[in-house]
Amino acid sequence: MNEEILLGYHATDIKNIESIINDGFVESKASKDHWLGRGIYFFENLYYAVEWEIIGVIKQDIADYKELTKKCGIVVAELDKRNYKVLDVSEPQGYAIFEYLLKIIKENYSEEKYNYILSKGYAYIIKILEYLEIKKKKQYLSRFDIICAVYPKNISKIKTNLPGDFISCVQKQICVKNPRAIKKVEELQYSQVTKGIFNLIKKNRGEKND
Amino acid sequence: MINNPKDIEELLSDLEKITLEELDEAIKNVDREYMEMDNENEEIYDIKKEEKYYFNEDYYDFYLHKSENKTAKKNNKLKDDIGVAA
Repeated sequence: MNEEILLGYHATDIKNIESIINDGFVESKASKDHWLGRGIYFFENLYYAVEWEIIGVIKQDIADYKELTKKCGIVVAELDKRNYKVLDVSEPQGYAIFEYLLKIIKENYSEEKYNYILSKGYAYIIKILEYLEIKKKKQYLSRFDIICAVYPKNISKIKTNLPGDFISCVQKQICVKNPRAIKKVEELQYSQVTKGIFNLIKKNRGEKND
Repeated sequence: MINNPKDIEELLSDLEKITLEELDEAIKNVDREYMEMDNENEEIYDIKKEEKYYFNEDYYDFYLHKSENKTAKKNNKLKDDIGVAA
């Protein structure tokens, strides 16, 4: 494990690759899809970047590998975790922030309201903090340069509900709040690895291999 | 550094200074935002039904965007965002 660098994969339209490499990323605003607030989004695992090419960039249910490589590209970024502040909310230390706010909400709001907020996950709490940052002109999450979190959906793991079934397959996302934390970016070259991932995605989605 | 205890401690201490009134105002504001999003989701759901879009997992619903022919406005927005969404 590299103690200094965190790798992030960003899938996008092939037309954007050059400008990203030359001029950097454009920060996205907080929205439904940008659940960790404003920032530049990456997947920690290449699998999800390839999948995002299919469902997020070309927006097709069934994709052809050759078409995908013509229309989409993946930028791999080296994120400096040694010199920049990283908040990983999937670890207990990072989760403590959410736990604190949830505790306050539980103590002061109805069970119904608390459960509603719980159902919205990290995104709701992040929105509260972003609102308060603007309102109070203070930095809460913005004091961190990078936020990592596990997206609460399991892509290929079959739920069994069996006791002891703790094997997990998670999707970790990285939201870079401070672009300076991006040390290096380069275009990922399509290879047998990406083709293998593509075929695995198709298999997981019940489609034939390419 | 990931989850530097000092950073976490400082943030928690700042969070403790948020008053209940401020939190309540923020919650109301976020609720309003979610209500708008829910309305938008309903619209997407209708389009999905209309165009016989279907997905087996909730996972894919999260990423579902409106289709091209029905949602020029939405797509323009997406176009502006190209290169920013992972």
